[in-house]
Amino acid sequence: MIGRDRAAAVALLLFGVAGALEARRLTLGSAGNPGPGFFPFWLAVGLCAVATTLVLVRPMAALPAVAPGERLRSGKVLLALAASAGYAFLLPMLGFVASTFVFLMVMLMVIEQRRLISSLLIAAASAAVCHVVFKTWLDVQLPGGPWGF
Amino acid sequence: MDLGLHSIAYGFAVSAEPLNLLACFIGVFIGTLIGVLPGIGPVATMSMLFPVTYAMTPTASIIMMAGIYYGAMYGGSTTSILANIPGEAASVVTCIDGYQMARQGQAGPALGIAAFGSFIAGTISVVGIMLMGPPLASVALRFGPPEIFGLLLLGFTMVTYLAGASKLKAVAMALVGLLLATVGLDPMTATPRFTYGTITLMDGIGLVPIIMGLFGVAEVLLNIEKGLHQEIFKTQVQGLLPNREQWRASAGPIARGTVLGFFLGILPGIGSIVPTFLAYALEKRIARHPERFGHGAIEGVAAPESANNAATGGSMIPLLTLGIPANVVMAVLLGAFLVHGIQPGPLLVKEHPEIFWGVIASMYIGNVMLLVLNLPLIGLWVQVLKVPYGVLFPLILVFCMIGVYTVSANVWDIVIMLVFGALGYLMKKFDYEPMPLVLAYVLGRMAEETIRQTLLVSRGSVAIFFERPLAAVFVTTAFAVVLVPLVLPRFRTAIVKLSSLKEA
Repeated sequence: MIGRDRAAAVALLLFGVAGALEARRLTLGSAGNPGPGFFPFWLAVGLCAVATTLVLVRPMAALPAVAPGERLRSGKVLLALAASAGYAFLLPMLGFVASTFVFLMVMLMVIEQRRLISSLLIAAASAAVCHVVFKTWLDVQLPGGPWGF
Repeated sequence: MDLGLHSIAYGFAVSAEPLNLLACFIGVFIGTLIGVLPGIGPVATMSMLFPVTYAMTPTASIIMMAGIYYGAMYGGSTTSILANIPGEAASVVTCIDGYQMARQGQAGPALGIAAFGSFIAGTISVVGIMLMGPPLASVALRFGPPEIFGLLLLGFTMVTYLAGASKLKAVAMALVGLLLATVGLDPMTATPRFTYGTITLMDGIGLVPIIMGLFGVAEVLLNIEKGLHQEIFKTQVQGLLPNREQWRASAGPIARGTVLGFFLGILPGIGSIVPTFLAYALEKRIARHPERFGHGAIEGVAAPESANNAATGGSMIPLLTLGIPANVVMAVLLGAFLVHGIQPGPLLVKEHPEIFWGVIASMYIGNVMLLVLNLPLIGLWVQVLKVPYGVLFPLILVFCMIGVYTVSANVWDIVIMLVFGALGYLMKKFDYEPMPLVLAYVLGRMAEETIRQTLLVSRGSVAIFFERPLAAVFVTTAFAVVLVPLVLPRFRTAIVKLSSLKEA
């Protein structure tokens, strides 16, 4: 899968170009008196050079092709990421215990496809244990939500 | 030597304080636990426990963090032997002969020799740190910006050259890491760079979200995709003590593994994985009956297990004496130092002797704890292995998110972590190593400051790097690391072999 390899190199090249353009907006200075943009600019230029080589040179070992069935689980990866982002969003609103409970329910039921009862039990017990360990025991500052926990 | 004994006695006094003892115990216990569990490594665990250390003294928190690292090395071997699952990458080799021994009813002695080998290696490497640390620190005190930059350059080249199959990809990752390190206020003029008016980015991108994203979240995502299945070899573990013959067979491998691991561990970029492979290969090469390897040879357990624990000790040296982490675990440890406002480096021995000697002595105590803890608790660890991963991974994600959140009480740090999690997942898919990125990120600020100071002093001339002898040695060695393999094919094959070992 040389195509996939090249796509990654192109993404790196774009990152390098963006970095160089952004760094140029800062003061570059000179070699004898480098400014804030000097180091990032030349790093980005270096990255562009390396990425260009990666785009042009044929990779020594091609990446393995996508295995059948992999796509299915990739959906789960996206779901897990989305659920985690949702957790970050809910945390300040619902508080730590409630959002942890909701997050665990989603993960266990949707991604792991466990049954309702076992998911409920695991999620509730884990949220309670997290509360005791982090808030009561370790005294870590976590958002409380409207009901105070 | 008298001074050394005095110092180490002081270290023992510090580490024997009840709170420090407790920190050491918690560290090695959690370390063993996560070493047993596949899918979560010491790097993610150490960063997860970052917030916990805020309430602790700097000494106690470093003691705990170090305990997690070498505890994980112990734990990893247990699952390798009993379940043929390396809980830790550094225990991959142990699977080969360890699991075979378990199948032949020798699980007890295999676990025993792994524990004793680790203990002996850990202990000897502590003595090594004690002897080598202070002299190195006093040399490092004479370093100016050109020397430090030269050393960093050498570190970068070694890390990228050992990072895996593709050197170019590793260089690209190191450059990305260096670029990420420039986000935030410019260290010399305080001009905001790449912050786009956000407060979250003013301080730069946090180390914790990056590490937990790349090593915690990404690992979980990969495991969700693979759908991890554990199978445990049902065996009765009895009689953990190896017999006299097994001891005799293991003595040499333990000694050689220790020396090899310790010195390789000091080198930047090596970590604790490569030494295990080399120690195994060495034993196989010098063995009278190499055909026994792979079929339950006790040497094949003793050597790599000793090597990875010795490497743990060795890799502490550059951090404690130069302030330069040799691998990612040490980078997290550096983060723990910085959180408490302490800069590890040549001044550490003088300014914070309680930390320097306390941590070293605690490693010794921790090794004793592990020996006492691990042998009777093996049954418990086997039970832990039975927790289904489907239940475990949502919890790991929750711990990661809480850990990141508590560092700055900023929800955006969770988002940054998730972005790096997705990135780490993709990097694995496209065969890019996260290690050069993280190391370059950690050292980026120091690299920028030192090269800018150097250029200011030399008025833009790079000749200064060759006019100062120590700087010249570092820079020339760095160039040699890049050029020699290109010129001499034999070195090239050696390096390719070394990095393919790491790949495996």
